[in-house]
Amino acid sequence: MGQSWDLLKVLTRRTVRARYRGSSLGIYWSLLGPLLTTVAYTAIFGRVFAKYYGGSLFLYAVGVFVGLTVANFFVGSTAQALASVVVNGELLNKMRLPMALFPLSTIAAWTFQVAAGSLPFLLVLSIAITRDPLHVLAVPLPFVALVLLSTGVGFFMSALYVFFRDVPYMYDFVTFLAWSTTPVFYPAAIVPERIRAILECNPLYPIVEGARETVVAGSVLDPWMFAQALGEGALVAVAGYAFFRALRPRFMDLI
Amino acid sequence: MLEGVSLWRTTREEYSFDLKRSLFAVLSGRFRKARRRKVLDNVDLRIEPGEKVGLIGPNGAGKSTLLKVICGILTPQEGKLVADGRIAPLIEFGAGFDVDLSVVDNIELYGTLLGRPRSEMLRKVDDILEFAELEDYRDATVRSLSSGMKARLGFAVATDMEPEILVLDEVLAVGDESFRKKSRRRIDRLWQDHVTVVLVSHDMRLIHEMCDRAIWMVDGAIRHDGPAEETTAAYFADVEASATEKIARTRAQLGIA
Repeated sequence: MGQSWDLLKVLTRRTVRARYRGSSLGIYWSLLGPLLTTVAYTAIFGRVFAKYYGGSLFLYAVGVFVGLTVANFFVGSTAQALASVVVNGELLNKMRLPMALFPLSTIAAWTFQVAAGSLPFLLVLSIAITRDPLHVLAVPLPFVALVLLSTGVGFFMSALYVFFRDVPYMYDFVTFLAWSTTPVFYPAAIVPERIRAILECNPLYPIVEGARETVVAGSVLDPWMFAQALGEGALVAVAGYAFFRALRPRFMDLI
Repeated sequence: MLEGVSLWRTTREEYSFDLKRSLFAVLSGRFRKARRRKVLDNVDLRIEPGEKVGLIGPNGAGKSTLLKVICGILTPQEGKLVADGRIAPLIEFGAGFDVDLSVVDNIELYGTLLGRPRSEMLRKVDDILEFAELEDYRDATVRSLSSGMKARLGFAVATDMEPEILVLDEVLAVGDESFRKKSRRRIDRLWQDHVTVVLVSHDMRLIHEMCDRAIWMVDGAIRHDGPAEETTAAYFADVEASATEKIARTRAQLGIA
């Protein structure tokens, strides 16, 4: 157990360092992309959508930033987890290592980045905007759900990729679909009622809406939405791991 | 200790890595399960603590597969494996390096991958750097090291422990002449009485010198198991016999008396 923990630590650190090679400001650099995208969306859609945020362009921008943080985490971490077992195939052929560590350490590395980069930023925004300790305390909750969801999907995809090497192309399409059905830059309110019921099946939906509510919304928090997000996340995590575990004995022949 | 171990592997050549094509094949009823080949066939093997065992045999006989089973990399579908003691797999030095990380970080990474506590590795960094003669390269990336330096680093980390079971796959010679002497001394130290060794090699002299027992494998099964001299002699006799036979057959085909 202690050994697995050590392994998770060194592998996670390896992944984090690989991303920020040679720049100590690395994690803050990673904020630059979403910030610029936020500026672009605000410039384009801000005037139209601000009315859903009480007419405030700033709140719309914050809402977009929250959405981007969630959606980018999901897309980026699961895409990297997808390759994690196959990429380390040579290593797995030379030493006995718990295979689950590879998708896990990828997700852990992304979690670390969000926890050190965007999350403090969102906490500060939440304090400044809502001035409500309850909202501020709830900020990390949707991210817990997000990490669980990404872990499950990461397990599932990394196992599938061992067997089918054309999976990344299809997964690109799946993540694009997930991205565009998540209310990242548009408010969920503009979606017609009937279609919104379909969008709510997207597990990212309650996470984005929940995260946005904790940072921007002045309204009372909806505990049901958090429970739904956490429950779905836990379910996907368990199912993903079960799938991974069931196929694991056949991995070594193909990597 | 291995008991009735059999292992099948899916042959990669026949396996379709294409999901689209596999789905169409299933839909059109043309799906064919990839064949599995028996790589280890009911291997029974008992190695006593402290024994030094050499594995010999032609390529593809299952020697490396057997090592992987002993290390726990591959799990056999049949039979069971009981290994008491800390196993040090020295299958290839430096397989766990991340070339973009510094030498120090790699010592931590590689050592932990090999199964040692991270805190212990951090304590041992200086000893390992000294042995590998890389004190001046602490913070250099492994990419910037020469291949000899990399091999030295890998050897220094992998052998810096007291394993109870040592598993080697043709990896005894590393580095230049002076380092080779030093590494030989370390191997000799590892080769102490209580350490169990399993060594794969095509170098019969090495097997002779270093092992007291040798196992000759053919087609995933044990052909001969006995004292090193006996097994290597039997192996040589067989190689010679088949060579003579081949020559005779060729001669007959060519019509030479």
